[in-house]
Amino acid sequence: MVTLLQTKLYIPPQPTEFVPRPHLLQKLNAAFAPTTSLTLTLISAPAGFGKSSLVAEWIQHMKAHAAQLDLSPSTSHFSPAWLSLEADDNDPYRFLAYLVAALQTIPSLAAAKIGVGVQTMLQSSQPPTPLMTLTILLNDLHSANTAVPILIVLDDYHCIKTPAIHEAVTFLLEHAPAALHLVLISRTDPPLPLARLRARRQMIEIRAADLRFTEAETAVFFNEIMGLNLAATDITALAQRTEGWITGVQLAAISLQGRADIGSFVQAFTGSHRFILDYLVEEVLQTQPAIIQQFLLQTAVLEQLHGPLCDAVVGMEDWHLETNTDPSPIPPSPSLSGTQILAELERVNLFIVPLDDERRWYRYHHLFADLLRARLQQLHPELIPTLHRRAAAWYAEAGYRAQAVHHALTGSDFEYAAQLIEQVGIDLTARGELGTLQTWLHALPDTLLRERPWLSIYASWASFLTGQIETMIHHLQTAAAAVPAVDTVETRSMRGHIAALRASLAIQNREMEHVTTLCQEALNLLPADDLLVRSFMTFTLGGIYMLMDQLELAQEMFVRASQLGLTSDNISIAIPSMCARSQILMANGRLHDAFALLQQALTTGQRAGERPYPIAANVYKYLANIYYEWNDLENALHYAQLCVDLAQQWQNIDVLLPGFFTLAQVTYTLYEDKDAVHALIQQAADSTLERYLSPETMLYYHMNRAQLHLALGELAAANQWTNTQAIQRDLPITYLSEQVFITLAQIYLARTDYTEADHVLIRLRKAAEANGRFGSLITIDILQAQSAQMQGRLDQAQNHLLNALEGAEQEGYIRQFLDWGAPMAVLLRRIPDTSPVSPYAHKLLRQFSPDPDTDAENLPHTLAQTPLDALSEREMEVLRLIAQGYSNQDIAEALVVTVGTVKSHTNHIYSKLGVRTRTQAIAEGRSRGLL
Amino acid sequence: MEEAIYEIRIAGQLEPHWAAWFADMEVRQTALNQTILYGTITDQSALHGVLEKIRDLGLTLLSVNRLNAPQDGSTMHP
Repeated sequence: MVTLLQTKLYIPPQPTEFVPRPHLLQKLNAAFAPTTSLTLTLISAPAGFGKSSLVAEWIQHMKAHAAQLDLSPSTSHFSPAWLSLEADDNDPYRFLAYLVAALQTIPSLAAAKIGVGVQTMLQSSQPPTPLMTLTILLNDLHSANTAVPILIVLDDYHCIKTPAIHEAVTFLLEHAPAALHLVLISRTDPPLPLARLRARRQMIEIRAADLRFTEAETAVFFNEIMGLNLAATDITALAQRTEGWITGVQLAAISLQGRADIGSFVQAFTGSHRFILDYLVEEVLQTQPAIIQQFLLQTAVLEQLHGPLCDAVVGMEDWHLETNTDPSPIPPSPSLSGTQILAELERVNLFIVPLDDERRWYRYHHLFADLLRARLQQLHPELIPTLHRRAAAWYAEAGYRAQAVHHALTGSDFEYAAQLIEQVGIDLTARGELGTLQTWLHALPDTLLRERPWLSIYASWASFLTGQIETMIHHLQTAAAAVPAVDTVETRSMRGHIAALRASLAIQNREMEHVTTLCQEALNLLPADDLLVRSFMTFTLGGIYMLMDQLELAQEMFVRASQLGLTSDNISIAIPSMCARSQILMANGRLHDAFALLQQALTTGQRAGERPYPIAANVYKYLANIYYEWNDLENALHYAQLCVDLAQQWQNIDVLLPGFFTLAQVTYTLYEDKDAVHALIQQAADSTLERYLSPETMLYYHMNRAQLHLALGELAAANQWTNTQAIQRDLPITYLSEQVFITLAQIYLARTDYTEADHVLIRLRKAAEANGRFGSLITIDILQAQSAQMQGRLDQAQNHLLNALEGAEQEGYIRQFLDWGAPMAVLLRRIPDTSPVSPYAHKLLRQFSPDPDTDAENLPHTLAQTPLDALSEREMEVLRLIAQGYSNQDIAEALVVTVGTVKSHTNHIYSKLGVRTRTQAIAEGRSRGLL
Repeated sequence: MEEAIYEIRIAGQLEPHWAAWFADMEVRQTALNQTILYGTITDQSALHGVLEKIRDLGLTLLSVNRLNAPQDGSTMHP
């Protein structure tokens, strides 16, 4: 099947002979002059002024003369993107999908896979907002960094009425790479910030006055192009009568062809005050055989012309050409097929525009089509609905459902339209073309929505997905009332959708207690092949079970949801399901399984194109967490950075905030650079400004912050969290709340509040043991060992450590041990060699910073060569501790000296290294090979 | 309040048969080589629809005048 999309991207061909318009081409060429800041060319003029033809001519000119023109040499690869817009393109998602498709007709962009990711996103069930989508597309274009100019032509832009699309185009103009130039062809000035563009000289404008044929051009057209050999006086008269309006000139020329009495035609025409189109179209039509006239008028209802389609639409019944004359039916003339007539119309240049190279699809010139339609309405208004219905039937039969719906609605065949919408409703919902769906449903009489439950169901989904909850409820009620009482496969399916809609509404209203029942009801009712809604319901159930701390059930649901999501290519369900699964696996202490699953999620998320899905941000974060635990800090940093970048781009605050903290933690461990970490904390804080944070996001944000302050040794800041946050210490510890209690225990320990710490740790252990969260148990054992060690109960500490090591060895937990620092090393050294975990303890010990004795032997030569600047052994020790992020107080404690002594050491270090701050000292120490 | 009688003046002489195309407004030719579209227009979006049709035919719009609202909301042709 030929997609009609291709016809929208087809650059109209230039006739072999045309009036050259060098002054206009020169004006247009400025778009690609070197060092230009021009981003927009606006061709704004009424119908029939040759706007599209001019741009088509310019494109051919550019292609042919790129090398000779004083343009960048790369212009020789010049290949523009063209998009012809129609009234049906007012859905922002449809518009964007077409824009991407148009860009991909440019070979260099197609090769760079520009927009492939965006395209898949647009086809997903929850596409990002139009502006976000555009941002991704623009980033693609920026990163492609093409030297070749990118020209995008949007033809018939006046058809666009949706503010969201104007916004998108404005955004495109403001953020486009320098190589991009946009051409808008429109009958009206588009609602874009034109004044600003004019003031900044960023816009080329061509208007009606520029486009009118001059008398000289009119002469060239009549005499050279059409070969009419008119006298100079006739030319002048015709130029005056048509005022250089190109369609008028063309119609006059067609009427003149083959006429002997040129003089009298010119005299009659120029002497008449009749509307020029009325006059000329009548002239032109009268020169056509009756069969052609009939064809033109009847096919005028079509947006696109195609031989078999025209055959289906054109009928013989009741047909006569003039209302005033006697009805004289046209004799049947089956000898000419639609395809032949279309070819003939193109041959005689009768305002027909080919839409592809194979000459399968055409359209009438818009102005000509309007004239024909007006005539049809005058002569045979009663026939119009019939013609539309025939077109609808042909399109439906050929599989072009959207076009079928359009004609059924235009032909007021609402029953048929309803039937067609029922068939495509789910696809449109899945693709996010909710605007189109809503426009169609709106065009139907209310009675139909009440009689046909599917229509109300789709209307309800569309309202829900666009956030119109009131309307959603209205349609949901209509749907529920409309489902017949009988129990068939179809009514079960309808009830399944209604239950799913109610479940969605319950989540929206945070009535969690109803959600489980409604989801299960939906799953029981929905047919097995309704993957879209089934996967959504299954995923929702998984989330609910997770909230209820029923992890096994949750796990089961997420496994099913990810399978359903993968089967139906619904990545916005598949990836979050896989993320949730891996999160649970991590809690269960199965790092390798979680890792494998995340890798799979990553492949799924990137499969479609170069650019990863926004939801991949979560995958990055969990990968960073696992790499960090495995002490693979380079990879941890890489993925944490990717997570933050992607989440930032998508303004996904729920992922961005934890992403920032993961990045900060990794950065700190790697570089021990407190300034950098504080900068990241600040960035995280900034990103929360003027944003709505859900209570959960808010809680985790402050918790993560406290954890980080703790790691930085900023106990006061960390402690603040335990005071200011309304943390309900007596709540049951669940999978979801566990981390809050772990953080609390860490803070209690840091402030040597052992009673509180041990109390929380015992509760944590019970909860984790009861639910088999072996990963959490490792953390808890380490904290309990720490607590015992701090309280001087070394044997008890060792027992906890042995437990932790046992659990840690197989899955390679490292970082939790190392992050505890020197005291952990002390404990690890105490592990007897006879213990089965002794090798792992030694492995961990080797990953601590090397001890000072061995370091001294490896002192770099630079030190020996500059004895005056050489650091003493004690100063080296202090520098190393500084580099590990120890505060002066920490260092004093570690070296058992006073803070004053430490300060004097640091002052010596600073002066020897010629630095003023700790950060500079670390950097200088590194560059001298001291660290 | 929205429904009102409008008088839309365009350049050139339009045939009466265009009435159907322009939402059944009356097409009156004037001596000044102009045409007046005269009739009741339901609301603003209907008015813009008519103006768009004028634009789409490449006609020159000279003026748009709102005359008076019909007394009882029914269509009124003088």
